[in-house]
Amino acid sequence: MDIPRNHERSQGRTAAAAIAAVLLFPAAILLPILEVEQLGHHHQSSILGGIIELFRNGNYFVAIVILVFSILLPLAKILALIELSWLCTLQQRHRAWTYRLMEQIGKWSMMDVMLLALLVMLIKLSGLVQFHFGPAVVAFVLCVTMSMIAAICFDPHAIWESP
Amino acid sequence: MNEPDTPPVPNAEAIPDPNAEAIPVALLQTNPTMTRWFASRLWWLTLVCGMVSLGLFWYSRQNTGSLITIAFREGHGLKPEDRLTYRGIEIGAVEKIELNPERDGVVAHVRLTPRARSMAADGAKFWIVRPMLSIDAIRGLDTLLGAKYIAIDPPSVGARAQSHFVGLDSAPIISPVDGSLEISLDAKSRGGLENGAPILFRGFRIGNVVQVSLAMDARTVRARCAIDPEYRDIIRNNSKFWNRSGWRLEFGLSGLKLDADTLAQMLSGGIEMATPSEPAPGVSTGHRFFLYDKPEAEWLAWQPSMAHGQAWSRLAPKMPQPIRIALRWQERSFGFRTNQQRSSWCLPLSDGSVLCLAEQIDAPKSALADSTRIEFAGVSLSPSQFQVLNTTSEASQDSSVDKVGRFTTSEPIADDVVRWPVDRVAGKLPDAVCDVLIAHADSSSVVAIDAGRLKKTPMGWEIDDQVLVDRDYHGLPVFSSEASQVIGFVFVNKQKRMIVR
Repeated sequence: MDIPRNHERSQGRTAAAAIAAVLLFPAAILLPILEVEQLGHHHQSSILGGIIELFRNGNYFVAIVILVFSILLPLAKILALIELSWLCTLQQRHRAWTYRLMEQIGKWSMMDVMLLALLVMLIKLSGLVQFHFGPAVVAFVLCVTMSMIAAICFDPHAIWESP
Repeated sequence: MNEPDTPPVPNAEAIPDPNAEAIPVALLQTNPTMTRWFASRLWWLTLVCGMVSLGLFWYSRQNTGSLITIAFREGHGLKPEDRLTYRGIEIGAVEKIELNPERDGVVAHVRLTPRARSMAADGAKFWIVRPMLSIDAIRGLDTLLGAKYIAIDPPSVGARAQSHFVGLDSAPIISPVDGSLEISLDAKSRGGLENGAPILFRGFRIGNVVQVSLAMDARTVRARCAIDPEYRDIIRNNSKFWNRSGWRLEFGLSGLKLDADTLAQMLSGGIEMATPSEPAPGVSTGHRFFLYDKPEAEWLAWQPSMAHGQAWSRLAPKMPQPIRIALRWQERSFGFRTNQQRSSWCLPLSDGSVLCLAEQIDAPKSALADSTRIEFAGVSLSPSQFQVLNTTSEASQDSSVDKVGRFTTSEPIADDVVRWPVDRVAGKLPDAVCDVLIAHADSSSVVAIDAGRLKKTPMGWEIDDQVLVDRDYHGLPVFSSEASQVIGFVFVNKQKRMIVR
């Protein structure tokens, strides 16, 4: 009885972290993440707003890349984790399939990479324009952390070893 | 969840599955599993994260100003990110600007800064600032090179919030400064009068023409004028206004004579005004005057002395409030008892005593015993009911000039009497003459006397003949704005007009 209990505990942790990430996700993409001040003009944009802007300007490729890799895939990965950990009633085969899917998605979800991009921008542009981070940065960092915790806590053995 | 054998979370796939495929393992899960599942302490973190998320949304909402739309007839080259400014600082930015659906105007979406949220309320006026050249000023020069911007005339405080506005085509007529006096002048013809033309008093600008328009019935031209707050006391009921627009060219024996004041006035016109030497009470906003074509010679000679200026408007509520006082007594003349009285003004003090001219307390020697009465503030005092504190009447060198006396009374005086702080009464006249104000119960009758019109004599300060101080001013307290003290009282008789102490 001990082993399943461990699995359950890991599943609980995964679910907790993944749900936290989901809660933070809207704040991370909807709220302004950057506030740029240049020549007296004040401009602030959120991640989603930035993507919409890119679409408007005709940069469809970049827009789609960002949309898919830093919004859709990370979200899918988190949701998959929740499904795996929470819906313990799932059929084993289905769970295994979801797990493999999640593994694949995980490789392509680049939310944390975006954080790095922001950091690079901060260093590169700090002399040219004045800008500061918006409230979304907090949500974004927490969201990345939470999804990482969820991924770490997840014990793939649970899929096969649980009853 | 009440039955231990059912799955905690029924899944859509789990229900049809049991008969169709392999053993439904998941069905064996029970409630205790669920409890263990929720046992993880990480759930607290989830709760915290949820709260952080909500908090951030709330914070962000606090920090983003409201979005308003302003409809303009012309865009004038306004672009997104152009600013909305008030008093020279940015209080918002244009987010986007687009054609309206009817295609007869543009709509600007403006994001206000959080602090300026209250600006979006009923009564706010918006216009696009663009370079403009006019006779007396060049406006919006900054927009010639820099970006256009939207300017705002803010709504009054407490107006109802609103988010859709209709912008003005051009800058609104200069909204009069708070506290300025708005009057309207009716003229037979426009006579070269322009919006913004100055209103002059002795060639000094005291206000502006706000708007010139035809009267409702088209019988006259109406000029709406705003007099600056500090000069509103100059405008009296009997003031005269005349148009001195443009310039007059006179050709006569003496030669050619060009009559114009300043270039700006020559081009935009101006209104000159005068107030008679005996100023009537002041007027309130909305008063109408007739605008004459030219002044009468008499008007130009008027020399009223009126308290005005910022110092005065600040002082006005703090001026001493004199009240009437009368001394009544009986005399025996030709064997008959006759009633005599003299009346002037007195100043109640905060310590309960009353300050007035000494003659107001001392009845003449000829008065019958016990017949004197002092009447003021609705009380009548017999000699036993008041006590004279000090009078210098007897010591006075010149018996025709009386000095100031002070008395107290045990009788209750009405509460509505304004009492002057006793520490703001000077013991004697200042060593050197200074600008003074003669306080009056009616604030429009307050007389200002320049130090140059006062002459120091051993008895007191003599008032120049030019200053209009008549018998009615006898006994009024004299206030020095410099010292903010009552320094003496006016004394008027047939020969002399003085300030005594």
